[in-house]
Amino acid sequence: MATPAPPAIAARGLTKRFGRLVAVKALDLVVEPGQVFGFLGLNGAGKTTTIRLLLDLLRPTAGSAAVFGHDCRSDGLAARALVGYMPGEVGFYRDMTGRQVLGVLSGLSRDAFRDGWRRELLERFAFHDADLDRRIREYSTGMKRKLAIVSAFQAEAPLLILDEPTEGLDPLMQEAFYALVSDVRQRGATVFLSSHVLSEVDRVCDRIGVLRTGELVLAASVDDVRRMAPRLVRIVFRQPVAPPPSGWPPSIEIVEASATRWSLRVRSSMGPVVESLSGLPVADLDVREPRLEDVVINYYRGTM
Amino acid sequence: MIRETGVLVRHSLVRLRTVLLVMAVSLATFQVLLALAAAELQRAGTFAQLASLIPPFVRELFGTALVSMMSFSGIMALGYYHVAIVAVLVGLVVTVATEPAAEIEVGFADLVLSRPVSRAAVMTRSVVLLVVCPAFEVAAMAVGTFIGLWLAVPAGAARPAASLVWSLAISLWSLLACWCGVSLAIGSVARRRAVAGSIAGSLAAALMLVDYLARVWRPLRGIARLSPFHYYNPLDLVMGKPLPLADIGVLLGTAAAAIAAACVLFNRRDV
Repeated sequence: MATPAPPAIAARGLTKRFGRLVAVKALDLVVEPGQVFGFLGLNGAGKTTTIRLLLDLLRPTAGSAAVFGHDCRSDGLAARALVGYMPGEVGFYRDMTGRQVLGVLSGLSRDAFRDGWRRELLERFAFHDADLDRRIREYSTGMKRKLAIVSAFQAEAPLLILDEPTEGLDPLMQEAFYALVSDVRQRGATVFLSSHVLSEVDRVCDRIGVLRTGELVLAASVDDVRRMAPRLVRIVFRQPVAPPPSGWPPSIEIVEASATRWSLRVRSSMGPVVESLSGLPVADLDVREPRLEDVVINYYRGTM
Repeated sequence: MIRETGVLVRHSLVRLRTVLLVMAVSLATFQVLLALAAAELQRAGTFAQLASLIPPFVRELFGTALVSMMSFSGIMALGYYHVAIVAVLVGLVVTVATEPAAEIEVGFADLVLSRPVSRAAVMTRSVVLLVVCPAFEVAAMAVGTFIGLWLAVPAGAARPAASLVWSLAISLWSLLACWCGVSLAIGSVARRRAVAGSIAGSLAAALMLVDYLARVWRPLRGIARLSPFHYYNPLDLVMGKPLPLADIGVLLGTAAAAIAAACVLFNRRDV
């Protein structure tokens, strides 16, 4: 029987304290290979600290983490050989050119890079030769972010750890980034990205984890999370009708009910609502699909 | 690890090359000019006059070494013991040694250490640079000295032996190596280069001062043994003493201990 592949990321009881502050509390997290995992949380929730623990930039106070089965501490070199990393704050020396940055960082990787792939990345992010020969001090914020994306993806690592990757990118480059994530995922890569942009997470991620003050309070597939949110149903009648029936299950919440308009929050099947509407003079029916943020924001607030 | 260290060394040398070259040319030129000036003083026979102008407390400070200082060899060797030159060279090694702190401050350390690069490779890079950069500068000084001697030894002046120049250079390099180690240990725990540089620079200035004061104030002599400058006496070499291997051993031993401490501290720290 074949041994199952180890998770791309596995953290067990991962804890990091800075003096009295507990930045990450006993984090248990598994990210399976091939997933695009969105790591969410408010500022200071511990997302970047977790990422830095995975990269062995920070040493855990307790617990452990592994990348594809390689312990991030004791077998850190093997773990990091499988990672492409884009930091949230890009730390390039201002006197270096873009080409020098890519050269140094590629020289530090174990495997030889495919020139064709790097060229493709540069083209996708509208980087020209002249841009690469300019010094970083002449780069805009967006240019630096694009260079960081290229440097993270150029090694074709099986795991990409991206800390707020689209911050500072214009909409076109955001689209280019989403397309790139989709492409590398199709090739089997795992993507672990932290983000504040819930619409972006909704669009590109398979699973999410929500961190609140260092604790993982939610880890689920995006579809499951979406199902946790109610659908908003608005019904407009051509003429006055009786109030909604009282026999609906508790998963159907009446927000507003006037003679010609009902507004409902539906967390389950729409069946009872549809049955009640039969024979009524419905003029319009609007169902707004559940959104990720409807759930995640409640987790941020601590109301879920 | 060797390949990663090589990449990092090359990267650092590319960034430092202008400073290293400008400093090397300046130091070498200064040595040439010193030799020319010493030759001129020798021709004019003004060494005795100059010695008589020196205040008594300075005579006490330097003792018999003053006689050596007021000679062709003494002036020629001025670059190896002049406070400003030594301070500039210590400044260079502090700058190089605090590179790990600078990389952490800028965020470049995140990019490097998130690759399959060990922290030992980062420290090895710093140690290589700390051997090579001061050696390059001191070698440039020695070359400048030789060029100056070739251009300007006047008749009647004893041509300083090549072994004296090399002894001065080795002695100075040992002092710088010691400061490399100390600065690296400080730089390996700091988050900001300015903080690490200030601490290392202030420590160097304080210990240099302690060493100078100890020469005229006996109570400080015990404490002065803690100063690396206590083990650096270039004027003894000018006076004809052999290369003090024990002193060089103390300086290089301190450097080795400080580098080992730096490696342990850097390996344990959060980046």
